[in-house]
Amino acid sequence: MPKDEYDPEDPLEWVGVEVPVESDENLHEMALTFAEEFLRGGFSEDELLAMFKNPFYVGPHLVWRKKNEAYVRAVIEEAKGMWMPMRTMSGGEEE
Amino acid sequence: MNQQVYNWQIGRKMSYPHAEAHPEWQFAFCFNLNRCIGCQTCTMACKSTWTFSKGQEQMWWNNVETKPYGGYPQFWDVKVLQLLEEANPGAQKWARKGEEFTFEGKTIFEAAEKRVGLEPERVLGYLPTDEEWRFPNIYEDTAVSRKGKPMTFDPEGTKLPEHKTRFFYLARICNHCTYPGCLAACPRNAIYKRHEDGIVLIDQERCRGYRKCVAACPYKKVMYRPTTHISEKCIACYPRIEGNDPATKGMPIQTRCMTACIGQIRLQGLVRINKDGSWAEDRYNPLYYLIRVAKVALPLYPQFGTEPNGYYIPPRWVPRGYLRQMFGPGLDEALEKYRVPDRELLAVLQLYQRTKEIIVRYEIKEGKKVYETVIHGKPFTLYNDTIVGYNKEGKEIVRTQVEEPFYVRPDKHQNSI
Repeated sequence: MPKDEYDPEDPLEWVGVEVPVESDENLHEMALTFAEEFLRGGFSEDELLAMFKNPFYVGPHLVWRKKNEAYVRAVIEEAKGMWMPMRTMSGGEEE
Repeated sequence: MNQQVYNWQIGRKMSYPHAEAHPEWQFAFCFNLNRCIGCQTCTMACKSTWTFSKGQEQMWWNNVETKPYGGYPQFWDVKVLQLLEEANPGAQKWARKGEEFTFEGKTIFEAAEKRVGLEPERVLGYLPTDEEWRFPNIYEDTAVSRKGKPMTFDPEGTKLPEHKTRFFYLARICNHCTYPGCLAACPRNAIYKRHEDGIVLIDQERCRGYRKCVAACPYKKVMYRPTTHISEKCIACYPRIEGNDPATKGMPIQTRCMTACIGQIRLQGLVRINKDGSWAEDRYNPLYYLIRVAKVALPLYPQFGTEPNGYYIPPRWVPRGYLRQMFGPGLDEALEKYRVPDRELLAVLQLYQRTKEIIVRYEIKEGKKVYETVIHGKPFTLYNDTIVGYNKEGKEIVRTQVEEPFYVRPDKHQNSI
Protein backbone atom coordinates (compact mmCIF):
# COMPACT_ATOMS: atom_id res chain seq x y z
CA MET A 1 0.00 0.00 0.00
CA PRO A 2 1.36 3.46 -0.85
CA LYS A 3 2.54 5.20 2.27
CA ASP A 4 0.11 8.09 2.08
CA GLU A 5 -3.09 6.11 1.66
CA TYR A 6 -5.22 5.61 4.71
CA ASP A 7 -4.81 2.23 6.35
CA PRO A 8 -7.23 1.56 9.22
CA GLU A 9 -5.03 -1.30 10.45
CA ASP A 10 -1.93 0.85 10.81
CA PRO A 11 -1.38 1.51 14.55
CA LEU A 12 0.39 4.77 13.72
CA GLU A 13 -2.45 6.01 11.53
CA TRP A 14 -4.18 9.22 12.49
CA VAL A 15 -7.64 8.44 13.81
CA GLY A 16 -10.63 10.12 15.35
CA VAL A 17 -11.88 8.64 18.61
CA GLU A 18 -15.37 8.61 19.98
CA VAL A 19 -15.95 9.28 23.65
CA PRO A 20 -18.85 7.39 25.23
CA VAL A 21 -20.04 10.30 27.36
CA GLU A 22 -20.79 12.47 24.34
CA SER A 23 -24.24 14.01 24.68
CA ASP A 24 -26.53 16.60 23.12
CA GLU A 25 -26.15 18.63 26.27
CA ASN A 26 -22.35 18.82 25.86
CA LEU A 27 -22.71 19.64 22.17
CA HIS A 28 -25.13 22.46 22.95
CA GLU A 29 -22.87 23.87 25.66
CA MET A 30 -19.88 23.75 23.30
CA ALA A 31 -21.79 25.54 20.54
CA LEU A 32 -23.07 28.11 22.98
CA THR A 33 -19.58 28.74 24.37
CA PHE A 34 -18.23 29.44 20.88
CA ALA A 35 -21.18 31.74 20.13
CA GLU A 36 -20.88 33.64 23.43
CA GLU A 37 -17.09 34.04 23.27
CA PHE A 38 -17.05 35.28 19.69
CA LEU A 39 -20.08 37.56 20.13
CA ARG A 40 -18.35 39.15 23.11
CA GLY A 41 -15.23 39.45 20.97
CA GLY A 42 -17.14 41.52 18.40
CA PHE A 43 -18.30 39.00 15.76
CA SER A 44 -21.57 39.73 13.96
CA GLU A 45 -24.30 37.11 13.56
CA ASP A 46 -23.29 36.52 9.94
CA GLU A 47 -19.59 36.12 10.79
CA LEU A 48 -20.50 33.68 13.51
CA LEU A 49 -22.67 31.59 11.21
CA ALA A 50 -19.89 31.59 8.61
CA MET A 51 -17.50 30.23 11.23
CA PHE A 52 -19.85 27.35 12.04
CA LYS A 53 -20.17 26.58 8.33
CA ASN A 54 -16.43 26.63 7.68
CA PRO A 55 -14.85 23.15 7.82
CA PHE A 56 -11.53 24.65 8.93
CA TYR A 57 -13.09 25.51 12.29
CA VAL A 58 -13.52 21.88 13.22
CA GLY A 59 -15.22 22.36 16.58
CA PRO A 60 -17.97 24.74 15.46
CA HIS A 61 -18.31 22.94 12.13
CA LEU A 62 -18.90 19.65 13.93
CA VAL A 63 -22.02 21.17 15.47
CA TRP A 64 -23.28 22.50 12.12
CA ARG A 65 -22.73 19.11 10.47
CA LYS A 66 -24.17 16.97 13.24
CA LYS A 67 -27.23 19.18 13.61
CA ASN A 68 -28.20 21.73 10.96
CA GLU A 69 -28.21 25.41 10.18
CA ALA A 70 -31.47 26.02 12.03
CA TYR A 71 -29.95 24.55 15.19
CA VAL A 72 -26.86 26.75 14.87
CA ARG A 73 -29.00 29.84 14.24
CA ALA A 74 -31.00 29.04 17.38
CA VAL A 75 -27.79 28.76 19.40
CA ILE A 76 -26.59 32.11 18.07
CA GLU A 77 -29.97 33.65 18.93
CA GLU A 78 -29.68 32.26 22.45
CA ALA A 79 -26.23 33.81 22.86
CA LYS A 80 -27.44 37.09 21.38
CA GLY A 81 -30.42 37.10 23.71
CA MET A 82 -28.04 36.93 26.66
CA TRP A 83 -25.18 39.16 25.56
CA MET A 84 -26.77 41.52 23.04
CA PRO A 85 -30.24 42.36 24.30
CA MET A 86 -32.02 45.44 22.94
CA ARG A 87 -29.79 48.24 24.11
CA THR A 88 -32.48 50.39 25.58
CA MET A 89 -29.97 51.87 27.99
CA SER A 90 -27.23 52.45 25.43
CA GLY A 91 -25.43 55.65 26.29
CA GLY A 92 -27.74 55.84 29.29
CA GLU A 93 -27.40 56.70 32.90
CA GLU A 94 -24.12 57.40 34.67
CA GLU A 95 -23.07 55.01 37.40
CA MET B 1 15.77 12.62 53.84
CA ASN B 2 12.65 14.41 52.69
CA GLN B 3 11.47 17.69 54.20
CA GLN B 4 7.94 18.90 54.95
CA VAL B 5 6.84 21.79 52.71
CA TYR B 6 3.50 23.57 52.42
CA ASN B 7 1.58 23.24 49.13
CA TRP B 8 -1.43 25.58 49.08
CA GLN B 9 -2.95 23.88 46.04
CA ILE B 10 -3.48 20.64 47.96
CA GLY B 11 -4.22 22.42 51.24
CA ARG B 12 -1.59 20.72 53.37
CA LYS B 13 2.07 20.05 54.02
CA MET B 14 3.71 17.40 51.92
CA SER B 15 6.98 15.57 51.65
CA TYR B 16 9.63 17.00 49.26
CA PRO B 17 13.36 16.21 48.81
CA HIS B 18 14.47 19.81 49.52
CA ALA B 19 13.70 22.38 52.22
CA GLU B 20 11.43 25.31 51.37
CA ALA B 21 13.18 28.14 49.51
CA HIS B 22 11.08 30.61 47.63
CA PRO B 23 11.66 33.30 45.02
CA GLU B 24 10.83 36.97 45.36
CA TRP B 25 8.53 36.92 42.33
CA GLN B 26 7.02 33.92 40.59
CA PHE B 27 6.49 33.50 36.85
CA ALA B 28 2.86 32.46 36.36
CA PHE B 29 0.24 32.35 33.62
CA CYS B 30 -3.45 31.91 33.15
CA PHE B 31 -4.89 30.31 29.98
CA ASN B 32 -8.58 30.58 29.05
CA LEU B 33 -9.33 27.23 27.39
CA ASN B 34 -12.76 28.42 26.28
CA ARG B 35 -11.00 30.49 23.66
CA CYS B 36 -8.26 28.20 22.35
CA ILE B 37 -8.82 27.17 18.73
CA GLY B 38 -5.76 24.93 18.49
CA CYS B 39 -4.03 27.00 15.79
CA GLN B 40 -0.55 26.14 17.17
CA THR B 41 0.75 29.69 16.64
CA CYS B 42 2.20 29.58 20.16
CA THR B 43 3.88 26.27 19.37
CA MET B 44 5.55 27.67 16.28
CA ALA B 45 6.54 30.92 18.01
CA CYS B 46 8.42 28.88 20.60
CA LYS B 47 9.84 26.42 18.09
CA SER B 48 11.19 29.12 15.81
CA THR B 49 12.77 30.96 18.72
CA TRP B 50 14.34 28.22 20.83
CA THR B 51 14.25 24.68 19.43
CA PHE B 52 15.09 24.83 15.72
CA SER B 53 18.48 23.12 15.85
CA LYS B 54 19.78 19.66 15.19
CA GLY B 55 18.69 17.21 17.88
CA GLN B 56 15.68 19.33 18.78
CA GLU B 57 13.40 18.05 16.03
CA GLN B 58 11.02 16.31 18.44
CA MET B 59 11.36 18.96 21.11
CA TRP B 60 8.25 21.10 21.65
CA TRP B 61 8.60 23.21 24.77
CA ASN B 62 5.15 24.61 23.97
CA ASN B 63 2.50 22.28 22.62
CA VAL B 64 -1.27 22.32 22.20
CA GLU B 65 -2.89 18.92 22.53
CA THR B 66 -6.39 17.80 21.66
CA LYS B 67 -8.02 16.37 24.74
CA PRO B 68 -9.16 13.80 25.77
CA TYR B 69 -6.87 11.53 23.74
CA GLY B 70 -4.14 13.77 22.42
CA GLY B 71 -0.94 14.25 24.35
CA TYR B 72 2.73 15.07 23.96
CA PRO B 73 4.30 12.72 24.77
CA GLN B 74 1.40 10.38 24.18
CA PHE B 75 -0.83 9.68 27.20
CA TRP B 76 1.56 11.47 29.59
CA ASP B 77 -1.20 12.41 32.02
CA VAL B 78 -3.01 9.08 31.99
CA LYS B 79 0.26 7.29 32.64
CA VAL B 80 1.15 9.44 35.66
CA LEU B 81 -2.39 9.12 37.04
CA GLN B 82 -2.17 5.36 36.62
CA LEU B 83 1.18 5.20 38.46
CA LEU B 84 -0.31 7.16 41.35
CA GLU B 85 -3.41 4.97 41.44
CA GLU B 86 -1.27 1.85 41.54
CA ALA B 87 0.83 3.33 44.36
CA ASN B 88 -2.22 4.34 46.39
CA PRO B 89 -5.21 2.35 45.12
CA GLY B 90 -8.62 3.93 45.58
CA ALA B 91 -7.33 6.65 47.89
CA GLN B 92 -6.40 9.50 45.54
CA LYS B 93 -9.21 11.71 46.85
CA TRP B 94 -9.98 15.26 47.91
CA ALA B 95 -11.79 16.20 51.12
CA ARG B 96 -13.79 19.36 51.63
CA LYS B 97 -13.92 21.33 54.87
CA GLY B 98 -16.10 24.39 54.42
CA GLU B 99 -14.61 26.42 51.60
CA GLU B 100 -11.27 24.65 51.71
CA PHE B 101 -10.13 21.48 49.97
CA THR B 102 -7.44 19.07 51.08
CA PHE B 103 -5.91 16.36 48.93
CA GLU B 104 -5.79 13.19 51.00
CA GLY B 105 -4.01 11.03 48.44
CA LYS B 106 -0.34 10.77 47.65
CA THR B 107 1.66 13.22 45.55
CA ILE B 108 4.38 12.01 43.19
CA PHE B 109 6.94 12.68 45.94
CA GLU B 110 5.03 10.83 48.65
CA ALA B 111 4.21 7.88 46.40
CA ALA B 112 7.91 7.52 45.57
CA GLU B 113 8.76 7.08 49.27
CA LYS B 114 6.95 3.75 49.18
CA ARG B 115 9.25 2.51 46.46
CA VAL B 116 12.25 0.98 48.14
CA GLY B 117 14.71 -1.50 46.76
CA LEU B 118 17.67 -1.51 44.47
CA GLU B 119 16.58 1.57 42.54
CA PRO B 120 14.77 3.93 44.89
CA GLU B 121 13.35 7.09 43.32
CA ARG B 122 12.84 10.55 44.73
CA VAL B 123 9.87 11.15 42.45
CA LEU B 124 7.29 8.76 41.03
CA GLY B 125 7.51 8.94 37.25
CA TYR B 126 8.41 7.18 34.04
CA LEU B 127 10.60 7.71 31.02
CA PRO B 128 8.49 8.05 27.85
CA THR B 129 9.57 5.89 24.92
CA ASP B 130 10.95 7.40 21.73
CA GLU B 131 7.69 6.49 19.99
CA GLU B 132 5.69 8.49 22.53
CA TRP B 133 7.75 11.60 21.76
CA ARG B 134 7.99 11.12 18.01
CA PHE B 135 4.37 11.26 16.83
CA PRO B 136 2.85 14.40 18.29
CA ASN B 137 0.03 14.41 15.71
CA ILE B 138 -1.55 11.12 16.67
CA TYR B 139 -5.02 11.73 18.14
CA GLU B 140 -4.61 15.42 17.46
CA ASP B 141 -7.00 17.61 15.57
CA THR B 142 -4.66 19.02 12.95
CA ALA B 143 -5.36 20.41 9.50
CA VAL B 144 -3.63 18.87 6.49
CA SER B 145 -3.28 19.89 2.87
CA ARG B 146 -4.85 17.89 0.07
CA LYS B 147 -2.81 15.08 -1.42
CA GLY B 148 -0.60 16.30 -4.25
CA LYS B 149 -1.14 19.98 -3.34
CA PRO B 150 1.36 20.79 -0.60
CA MET B 151 1.27 24.17 1.12
CA THR B 152 -2.42 24.67 0.32
CA PHE B 153 -5.53 24.38 2.43
CA ASP B 154 -8.11 21.79 1.56
CA PRO B 155 -11.34 23.74 0.91
CA GLU B 156 -13.45 20.79 2.03
CA GLY B 157 -11.59 20.18 5.26
CA THR B 158 -10.24 16.84 6.33
CA LYS B 159 -11.67 13.49 5.29
CA LEU B 160 -10.94 11.11 8.09
CA PRO B 161 -12.85 8.64 10.20
CA GLU B 162 -15.53 10.70 11.92
CA HIS B 163 -14.19 12.64 14.90
CA LYS B 164 -17.42 12.50 16.86
CA THR B 165 -16.23 13.47 20.25
CA ARG B 166 -16.41 16.79 21.94
CA PHE B 167 -12.86 17.92 22.55
CA PHE B 168 -10.86 20.84 23.73
CA TYR B 169 -7.37 22.13 23.19
CA LEU B 170 -4.96 22.10 26.10
CA ALA B 171 -2.07 24.50 25.58
CA ARG B 172 0.94 23.59 27.69
CA ILE B 173 4.37 24.88 28.59
CA CYS B 174 6.60 24.19 31.60
CA ASN B 175 4.67 25.19 34.75
CA HIS B 176 7.80 26.47 36.53
CA CYS B 177 6.51 24.64 39.58
CA THR B 178 7.01 25.79 43.14
CA TYR B 179 8.18 22.25 44.00
CA PRO B 180 9.53 21.00 40.66
CA GLY B 181 9.70 17.26 40.11
CA CYS B 182 12.64 17.73 37.74
CA LEU B 183 14.65 19.67 40.30
CA ALA B 184 13.90 17.13 43.03
CA ALA B 185 15.07 14.22 40.90
CA CYS B 186 18.33 15.60 39.52
CA PRO B 187 21.30 13.70 41.05
CA ARG B 188 23.69 16.47 39.93
CA ASN B 189 21.74 19.44 41.37
CA ALA B 190 21.90 20.84 37.85
CA ILE B 191 18.35 22.21 37.98
CA TYR B 192 17.61 25.38 39.89
CA LYS B 193 14.79 27.83 40.52
CA ARG B 194 15.74 31.47 40.11
CA HIS B 195 15.35 33.77 43.10
CA GLU B 196 14.23 36.76 41.02
CA ASP B 197 11.32 35.20 39.11
CA GLY B 198 10.93 31.54 40.07
CA ILE B 199 11.84 30.33 36.58
CA VAL B 200 13.17 26.74 36.61
CA LEU B 201 16.31 26.21 34.51
CA ILE B 202 18.79 23.44 33.75
CA ASP B 203 22.45 24.33 34.14
CA GLN B 204 23.73 23.06 30.82
CA GLU B 205 27.28 22.82 32.19
CA ARG B 206 26.33 20.58 35.10
CA CYS B 207 23.76 18.35 33.34
CA ARG B 208 25.10 14.96 32.31
CA GLY B 209 21.93 13.68 30.69
CA TYR B 210 20.88 11.06 33.24
CA ARG B 211 17.26 11.90 32.34
CA LYS B 212 16.04 11.59 35.91
CA CYS B 213 14.32 14.94 35.34
CA VAL B 214 12.61 13.68 32.19
CA ALA B 215 11.18 10.77 34.15
CA ALA B 216 10.26 12.87 37.18
CA CYS B 217 8.46 15.81 35.56
CA PRO B 218 4.80 14.69 35.68
CA TYR B 219 3.95 17.16 32.89
CA LYS B 220 6.78 15.78 30.73
CA LYS B 221 8.18 19.19 29.94
CA VAL B 222 11.85 18.29 30.20
CA MET B 223 13.30 16.78 27.02
CA TYR B 224 16.51 14.97 26.21
CA ARG B 225 18.64 16.14 23.29
CA PRO B 226 20.45 13.22 21.70
CA THR B 227 23.01 15.34 19.87
CA THR B 228 24.38 16.98 23.03
CA HIS B 229 23.48 14.18 25.47
CA ILE B 230 21.95 16.59 27.95
CA SER B 231 18.40 17.66 28.78
CA GLU B 232 16.66 20.91 27.90
CA LYS B 233 13.43 22.60 28.87
CA CYS B 234 11.31 25.73 28.52
CA ILE B 235 13.25 28.72 29.83
CA ALA B 236 10.17 30.97 30.10
CA CYS B 237 11.86 33.29 27.57
CA TYR B 238 13.82 34.66 30.53
CA PRO B 239 15.60 37.43 28.55
CA ARG B 240 12.13 38.89 27.94
CA ILE B 241 11.07 38.47 31.58
CA GLU B 242 14.30 40.24 32.61
CA GLY B 243 13.38 43.19 30.41
CA ASN B 244 16.28 42.75 27.99
CA ASP B 245 14.12 43.37 24.93
CA PRO B 246 14.99 46.87 23.69
CA ALA B 247 11.34 47.54 22.79
CA THR B 248 10.27 47.72 26.44
CA LYS B 249 13.17 49.78 27.82
CA GLY B 250 13.97 47.43 30.68
CA MET B 251 10.44 46.43 31.55
CA PRO B 252 9.47 42.74 31.61
CA ILE B 253 7.68 41.48 28.53
CA GLN B 254 5.56 38.34 28.15
CA THR B 255 7.02 35.21 26.55
CA ARG B 256 6.95 34.46 22.81
CA CYS B 257 4.16 31.90 23.11
CA MET B 258 1.97 34.33 25.06
CA THR B 259 2.37 37.31 22.77
CA ALA B 260 1.90 35.24 19.60
CA CYS B 261 -1.50 33.91 20.71
CA ILE B 262 -4.13 34.99 18.20
CA GLY B 263 -7.02 33.62 20.23
CA GLN B 264 -6.19 35.90 23.15
CA ILE B 265 -6.33 32.98 25.56
CA ARG B 266 -3.13 33.82 27.44
CA LEU B 267 -2.22 36.18 30.22
CA GLN B 268 1.22 35.87 31.75
CA GLY B 269 2.80 37.78 34.58
CA LEU B 270 4.69 37.76 37.83
CA VAL B 271 3.23 37.37 41.31
CA ARG B 272 4.87 38.45 44.55
CA ILE B 273 5.86 35.65 46.90
CA ASN B 274 6.31 35.92 50.70
CA LYS B 275 9.36 34.41 52.36
CA ASP B 276 7.27 31.49 53.60
CA GLY B 277 6.21 30.69 50.02
CA SER B 278 2.65 32.03 50.27
CA TRP B 279 1.40 34.51 47.71
CA ALA B 280 1.73 38.08 48.95
CA GLU B 281 -1.59 39.91 49.04
CA ASP B 282 -1.64 41.80 45.75
CA ARG B 283 -5.34 42.36 45.13
CA TYR B 284 -5.00 44.27 41.87
CA ASN B 285 -2.45 42.04 40.17
CA PRO B 286 -4.56 40.43 37.40
CA LEU B 287 -3.15 36.94 38.04
CA TYR B 288 -3.65 37.24 41.79
CA TYR B 289 -7.23 38.29 41.16
CA LEU B 290 -8.05 35.50 38.69
CA ILE B 291 -6.39 32.73 40.72
CA ARG B 292 -6.77 33.72 44.38
CA VAL B 293 -9.76 36.09 44.49
CA ALA B 294 -12.17 35.16 41.68
CA LYS B 295 -10.80 31.58 41.66
CA VAL B 296 -11.79 31.06 38.02
CA ALA B 297 -8.34 29.79 37.05
CA LEU B 298 -7.16 26.44 38.36
CA PRO B 299 -3.85 24.54 38.38
CA LEU B 300 -3.34 21.57 36.05
CA TYR B 301 -3.41 18.29 37.98
CA PRO B 302 -2.76 19.84 41.42
CA GLN B 303 -2.78 16.34 42.94
CA PHE B 304 0.64 15.67 41.41
CA GLY B 305 1.97 17.92 44.17
CA THR B 306 4.45 20.11 42.34
CA GLU B 307 2.37 23.28 42.83
CA PRO B 308 2.44 24.24 39.13
CA ASN B 309 2.33 27.95 38.33
CA GLY B 310 0.31 27.51 35.14
CA TYR B 311 -3.44 28.04 35.64
CA TYR B 312 -6.42 27.39 33.39
CA ILE B 313 -9.96 28.65 33.02
CA PRO B 314 -11.52 25.27 32.17
CA PRO B 315 -13.66 24.71 29.07
CA ARG B 316 -17.36 24.92 29.94
CA TRP B 317 -18.74 22.13 27.79
CA VAL B 318 -16.55 19.22 28.84
CA PRO B 319 -17.96 16.54 31.21
CA ARG B 320 -17.37 17.67 34.77
CA GLY B 321 -15.86 14.42 36.06
CA TYR B 322 -13.06 14.63 33.52
CA LEU B 323 -12.36 18.25 34.38
CA ARG B 324 -12.46 17.67 38.14
CA GLN B 325 -9.70 15.11 37.80
CA MET B 326 -7.70 17.49 35.64
CA PHE B 327 -8.18 20.76 37.54
CA GLY B 328 -9.13 19.73 41.06
CA PRO B 329 -12.18 20.22 43.23
CA GLY B 330 -12.56 23.98 42.71
CA LEU B 331 -13.87 23.27 39.22
CA ASP B 332 -17.62 23.73 39.64
CA GLU B 333 -17.34 27.08 41.38
CA ALA B 334 -14.84 28.28 38.78
CA LEU B 335 -17.08 27.35 35.87
CA GLU B 336 -20.18 28.92 37.39
CA LYS B 337 -18.26 32.11 38.01
CA TYR B 338 -16.95 32.18 34.44
CA ARG B 339 -20.35 31.45 32.83
CA VAL B 340 -21.88 34.50 34.48
CA PRO B 341 -18.94 36.79 35.20
CA ASP B 342 -19.34 39.61 37.67
CA ARG B 343 -18.45 43.19 36.88
CA GLU B 344 -14.81 43.00 37.93
CA LEU B 345 -14.13 39.64 36.27
CA LEU B 346 -15.56 40.82 32.97
CA ALA B 347 -13.25 43.82 33.06
CA VAL B 348 -10.13 41.82 34.00
CA LEU B 349 -10.79 39.34 31.18
CA GLN B 350 -10.34 42.27 28.80
CA LEU B 351 -6.65 42.40 29.72
CA TYR B 352 -5.86 39.20 27.83
CA GLN B 353 -3.31 39.99 25.11
CA ARG B 354 -3.92 43.72 25.05
CA THR B 355 -0.22 44.41 25.56
CA LYS B 356 3.07 42.55 25.31
CA GLU B 357 4.34 44.02 28.54
CA ILE B 358 3.67 42.33 31.86
CA ILE B 359 0.83 43.94 33.79
CA VAL B 360 1.51 43.92 37.52
CA ARG B 361 -1.47 46.07 38.56
CA TYR B 362 -4.84 46.99 37.14
CA GLU B 363 -7.38 49.66 37.97
CA ILE B 364 -11.03 49.76 36.99
CA LYS B 365 -12.71 53.07 36.27
CA GLU B 366 -16.48 52.65 36.45
CA GLY B 367 -18.40 53.40 33.28
CA LYS B 368 -22.00 53.73 32.15
CA LYS B 369 -24.61 51.04 32.48
CA VAL B 370 -25.17 49.61 29.02
CA TYR B 371 -27.98 47.11 29.56
CA GLU B 372 -29.60 44.66 31.90
CA THR B 373 -30.13 41.08 30.83
CA VAL B 374 -30.30 37.49 32.02
CA ILE B 375 -27.24 35.27 31.47
CA HIS B 376 -27.80 31.56 32.00
CA GLY B 377 -30.80 32.29 34.21
CA LYS B 378 -29.08 34.88 36.38
CA PRO B 379 -29.69 38.64 36.29
CA PHE B 380 -26.75 40.49 34.81
CA THR B 381 -25.94 44.13 34.23
CA LEU B 382 -23.31 45.19 31.75
CA TYR B 383 -21.30 48.29 32.57
CA ASN B 384 -18.90 49.79 30.10
CA ASP B 385 -16.05 50.02 32.58
CA THR B 386 -12.56 51.08 31.59
CA ILE B 387 -9.67 48.93 32.73
CA VAL B 388 -6.15 50.29 32.97
CA GLY B 389 -3.02 48.14 33.27
CA TYR B 390 0.29 49.29 34.79
CA ASN B 391 3.80 47.89 34.50
CA LYS B 392 6.40 47.27 37.23
CA GLU B 393 7.29 50.97 37.33
CA GLY B 394 3.67 52.00 37.75
CA LYS B 395 3.47 53.37 34.22
CA GLU B 396 0.21 52.92 32.30
CA ILE B 397 0.72 50.39 29.50
CA VAL B 398 -2.81 49.50 28.46
CA ARG B 399 -6.26 51.06 28.62
CA THR B 400 -9.33 49.34 27.25
CA GLN B 401 -13.07 49.04 27.81
CA VAL B 402 -15.52 46.23 28.42
CA GLU B 403 -17.45 47.34 25.32
CA GLU B 404 -14.42 47.54 23.10
CA PRO B 405 -14.74 49.11 19.66
CA PHE B 406 -14.32 46.53 16.88
CA TYR B 407 -11.90 47.43 14.09
CA VAL B 408 -11.32 45.50 10.90
CA ARG B 409 -7.77 45.80 9.65
CA PRO B 410 -7.64 46.99 6.02
CA ASP B 411 -6.48 44.42 3.47
CA LYS B 412 -3.39 46.45 2.58
CA HIS B 413 -1.93 45.57 6.00
CA GLN B 414 -2.33 41.82 5.54
CA ASN B 415 0.73 39.89 6.75
CA SER B 416 2.50 43.02 7.90
CA ILE B 417 4.13 43.01 11.30
